[in-house]
Amino acid sequence: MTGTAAAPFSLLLAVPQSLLRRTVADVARSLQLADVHEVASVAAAERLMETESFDALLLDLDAGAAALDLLVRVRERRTRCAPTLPIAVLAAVCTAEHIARLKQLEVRRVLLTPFKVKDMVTSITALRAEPVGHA
Amino acid sequence: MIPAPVLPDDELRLDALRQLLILDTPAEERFDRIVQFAAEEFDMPIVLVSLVDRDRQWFKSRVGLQACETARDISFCGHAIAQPDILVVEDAADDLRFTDNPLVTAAPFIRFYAGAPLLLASGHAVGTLCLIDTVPRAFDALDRSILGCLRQLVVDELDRPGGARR
Repeated sequence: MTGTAAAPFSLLLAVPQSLLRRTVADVARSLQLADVHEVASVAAAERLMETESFDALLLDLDAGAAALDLLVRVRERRTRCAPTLPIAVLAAVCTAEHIARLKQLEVRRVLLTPFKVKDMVTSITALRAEPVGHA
Repeated sequence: MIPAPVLPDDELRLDALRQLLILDTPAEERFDRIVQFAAEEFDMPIVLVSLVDRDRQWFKSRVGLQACETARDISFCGHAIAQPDILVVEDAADDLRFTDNPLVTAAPFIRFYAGAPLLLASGHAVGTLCLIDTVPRAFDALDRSILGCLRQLVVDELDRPGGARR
């Protein structure tokens, strides 16, 4: 033991639906699961990940190619996050082709509609169990 | 049935409620979206923002219920505002406070109830955000946490400048 307090688990929550995002963030904070950083778009997530590192990412794939491109950037070390960053995604539609691509990108969890706060918080708990070092 | 209690500071509580200038006002999207969200999150047939007036509970927002108010003495929410924490009744038919309550023995045939008190900054609970089902249900710690956070969003709206009271 070092005697210093461990850094809080930091989660980037990139979800456009404001009520869903706010409730998930509030619940995660109230349960002290994570230091949650909220953004409403992939573009905002990308900007933040150019300057900050996180311990996990929960991302809505609604933005399509831009969202997948962000996952590629993470895995190719083109963000400040570790390339092994634990990632969970929300997907309105998920074909076999999508699933194959997400597996390739080492996405740990895929949540399908209807998106529930309870499922998302459970996913955050699961992501916490997979700590990674920062890049 | 045990009637909903009248709180020792009920006059002060009623003053706080009336200062909101919200009783008997039209439905508002800012409350309806939270109620609809809660109904979908919990797969609950009835969700209400209930405000407990002197002799009635009046519903500012509602999903799954036609009535816009019921008597306070038979209300579950009247019990919920008497305690600081969320009131959960997993099966009203097995709870002496509610087993012969007319809201249990007749429409809407309540069996499950979870009500989070809407606690204003003044310390007064003016009502609840409540979930109701017609079958018994379990409600775990995470459910409580989610309902508690949604309740706070309702309280934030009650306190928000530019709301119905301004």
